[in-house]
Amino acid sequence: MTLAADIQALRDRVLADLSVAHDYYTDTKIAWDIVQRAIASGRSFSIRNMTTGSVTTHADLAGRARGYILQQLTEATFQQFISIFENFFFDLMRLWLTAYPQSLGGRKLDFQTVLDSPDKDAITSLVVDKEINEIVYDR
Amino acid sequence: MTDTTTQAPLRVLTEGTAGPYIIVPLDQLNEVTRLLDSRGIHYSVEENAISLDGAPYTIVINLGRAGNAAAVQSILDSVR
Repeated sequence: MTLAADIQALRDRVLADLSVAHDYYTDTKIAWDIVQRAIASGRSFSIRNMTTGSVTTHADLAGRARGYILQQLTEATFQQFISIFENFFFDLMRLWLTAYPQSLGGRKLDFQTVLDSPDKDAITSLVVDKEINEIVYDR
Repeated sequence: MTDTTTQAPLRVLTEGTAGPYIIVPLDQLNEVTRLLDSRGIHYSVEENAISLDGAPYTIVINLGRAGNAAAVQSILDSVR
């Protein structure tokens, strides 16, 4: 696979991930909207937590629903978008550095690591992964 | 097996992508899980039981993505 094809495949995967996250946000918001409308139309319900024994009524949930939608759900979705973007960025960097590893030419390796590697590609992959891990954990 | 609150047969539901599931009255949960246990069926019970409009509480038994809806339905149908 060429670098361009790899990047296109990565793009497609990331766009699909973003769509799934967006659908989750939209569907969850719709579900909460339905709950709010059901309550407003007079439906009642009660939820018993089998672990804690606590009971939540429709009135409790109606009070929390707007906060769930406007704050928690929105924030969680935004965090998920950021996480997807980070994965995209580092995967792109991995592809690029693997294709053009010259910029890592100054990195040093134990000779034993070289001896243990089956070929040059394996060594390159090792150095690229190490470089990216350092960036990820230094953030 | 009959739903004790509606007198309708218990059905294994299959819509969605999270695997088949059964909605059972909370009072009947132990009876159903004992039956599933006796046949070696893997399942998980949701944490929350829900009552709509004052009706008896119901709870969902998930059979998992690999759950065999037809086999479990057959087991439920074998019990009066």
